[in-house]
Amino acid sequence: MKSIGDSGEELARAYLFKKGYRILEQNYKVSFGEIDIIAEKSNCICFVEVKSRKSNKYGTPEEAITRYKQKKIVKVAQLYIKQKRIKDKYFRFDVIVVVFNNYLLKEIKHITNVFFE
Amino acid sequence: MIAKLYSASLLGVDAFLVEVEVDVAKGLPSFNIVGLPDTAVQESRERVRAALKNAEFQFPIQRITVNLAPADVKKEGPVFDLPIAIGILIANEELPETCNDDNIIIGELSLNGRIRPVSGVLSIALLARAKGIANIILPQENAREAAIVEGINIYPASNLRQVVRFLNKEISIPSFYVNKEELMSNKDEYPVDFSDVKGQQQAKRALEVAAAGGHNALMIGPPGCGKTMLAKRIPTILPSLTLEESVEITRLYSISNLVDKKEPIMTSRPFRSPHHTISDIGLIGGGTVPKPGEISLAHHGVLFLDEFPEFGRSTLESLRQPLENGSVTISRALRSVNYLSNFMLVAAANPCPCGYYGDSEKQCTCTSYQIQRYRSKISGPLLDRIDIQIEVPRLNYKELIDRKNNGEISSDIRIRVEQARKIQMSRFRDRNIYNNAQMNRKDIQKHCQLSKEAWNLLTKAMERLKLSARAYDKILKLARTIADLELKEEIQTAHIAEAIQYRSLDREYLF
Repeated sequence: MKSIGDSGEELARAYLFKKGYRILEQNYKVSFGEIDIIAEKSNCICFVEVKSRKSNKYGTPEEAITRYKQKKIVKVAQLYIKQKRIKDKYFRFDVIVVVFNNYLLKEIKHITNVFFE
Repeated sequence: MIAKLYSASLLGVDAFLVEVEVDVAKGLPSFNIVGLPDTAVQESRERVRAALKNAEFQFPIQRITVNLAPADVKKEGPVFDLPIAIGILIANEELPETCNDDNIIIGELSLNGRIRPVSGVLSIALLARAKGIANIILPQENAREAAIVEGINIYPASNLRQVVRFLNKEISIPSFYVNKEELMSNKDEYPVDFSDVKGQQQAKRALEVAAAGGHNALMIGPPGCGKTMLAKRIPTILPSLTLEESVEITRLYSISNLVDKKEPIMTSRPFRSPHHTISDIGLIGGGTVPKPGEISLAHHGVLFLDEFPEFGRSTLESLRQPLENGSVTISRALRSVNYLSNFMLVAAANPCPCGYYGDSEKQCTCTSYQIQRYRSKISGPLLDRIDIQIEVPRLNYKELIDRKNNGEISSDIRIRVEQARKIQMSRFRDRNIYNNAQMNRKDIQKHCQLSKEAWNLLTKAMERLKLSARAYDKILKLARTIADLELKEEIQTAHIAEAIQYRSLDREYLF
C-alpha cells in the first residue's frame, strides 16, 4: 500500500499539471536533501514541497515546514540551478498541502512564494 | 533594473544625505539590505513587504538588494521604509525612473501601508535646504515641523498609495505651509505667572536680575518657602524666543523624540527639572548612540536642579564644562557629537540636612559636622559659576493670606528684562558673547565703569567682608546687569550694594 505522502505527491502533480505547469522533476534527490516537485510555468521555475496529512489533529501540514527544512530546500534548489545551468528565469518556492479524511481527499491547497533565500 | 533615490539619516543633531539604491534581479528570491543598517533598518524588510502587499502592489519574487550609501556610516531608525518601498516599485517598473530626481523621501511604514511619523525631521529639512534639494516627501504628522524651514517644498503623505500616485503625477499634493509670524506670536502662553507667588519680593528681584544678565542662580531656604514655585516661573520672564532659537531647541527635541504631536515647533522656553537621582549621562547626554541629555533639552531655557546637594557629586561636576562653553561634546567609540546646551542654571538647596538652619521660627537639629558635609557636596569651582546666591526665607502667615499684594505679573517684568538684554546685545556686538554673565576680566574692566561713591562702597565691602578676587568680579558683573535694568550707563552705589546682596556665600553668612 502506498503511503499518505506518496499519494499526496501524486495528487499535487496532477493538480499542477491541470493548472498548466510543466513538471521538470519529481523527487529531485541529492545527498543533503530532496525537493518533491520542480515545475515550470511562464518562465518561472517553482520548487514545490508537498505536505500531506491524514487529519489536522497534529497541527496543519504547513506548520510542519520549519526554518531548517526551508534552508535545506533552498540549498537543493541552488544546486539544481547550478547543475542544469539555468539562466534568465524567475524562481519561486511553493508549498502544496494535501489533507485526507478517511483516505479520501478532503482538501488541496497551493501556497505560492512562501519563503525567501 | 536599478533605482536610486535620496533619503537622510541622523548623526547627532545633524542629518546627512543617504543614497538608497535598489536593485531587482532574477535569481533565487531574496531581500537584503546592506550599508551598515541597524536593527530597525533590517526589520524594515518585513514592513516594506507587508506594506507593498497590503497597498495592493506587486512585491517582486526576485532577488532584491538595497544599498544605503555612504556604506561606512551606521544608519538608524525606520526612516528608510518609504524610500525602500518606492525604490522597489521603481526597480519593478511600476513607477517612472525620473520621478525622484529632486526629492528626499522619509517615512516609516506600517504593515497596512500607512506612513508613520519619524524623528529628526527638522534636521533633515535643514539638510535639504543646505544641499539644494527642492522637495521633501514626508509623513503627514511631521509636515508642520519641517515647514518652518524656508525655501523647500514639503509634501506630506499619509499612505504609500498616495505617494505613488503623487510621483506618478496622478494627483498633486499642495506644498505644506506654516505661517511663521503667527506661530511665533502665539507663544509665551505659560500656565504659571510670577504673581502666583506670594511675598518673596527679594527673591523675585534676584531672579529678574539673573534673567536679565543670563546669570546662574542658587536659592537657599527652608522647605516649603517657594523655591520650586519661583524657579518654575523663570521662563515666563525670559525674553521671547527668536525663530533661530526656536529652531535650535526644536531640533534637539525632535531627535530625542520629545516634540508635541500637535505643535512640534517649540515656541516657549524649556524648563527642565530632573530628579536628583539622575545619572551623569542622563544630565549631560550619552549612550552608545549619543543622545542629548537634560542640559541640552534645557537649551535656551532653564535647567532647575532642586535639592542641589543631593545630586551625585560626579553628576554636578560634569556640569562645569557645559556651563562654560554653552555646548557639550560627547565622544563615544562609534562617534562623537556636539550638542548645544546654553542654559540658565537655577539650583535650590536647603541650608542644612534638616532644612531649618538660620530659620526664624524653627530650630535646626543638625550637628555642625552634618552641615559641613552637606555643603561640601557643592564644590568651589561649581559655585564659582553661579553668580547669584540668595536666601529665600520662610513666608510669614500675614504675607501668605494677603490677597491684595501679589506683586508684578510676569509680562511686566519681562519688558524690563528684554530691555536689559537689548543693551547687552549692542554692547557685545563685536564679541562672541551675548550677556553680562559671559564677560571675562577684560570685558569687566572695559564695561563696568563705577561712580566715585560706588567705588568707595565696593572698596569698603571688600575690606569689611573679606571678599575674594573671584567675588569681586562677580559683584561687578551683577552690578552691570542691575544698572542695565535701570538703563544706566554708569554703575551707581545702589547697584553695587544690591550686587553685594546676591553673594550670600561669599559673605559667609550662611555657607
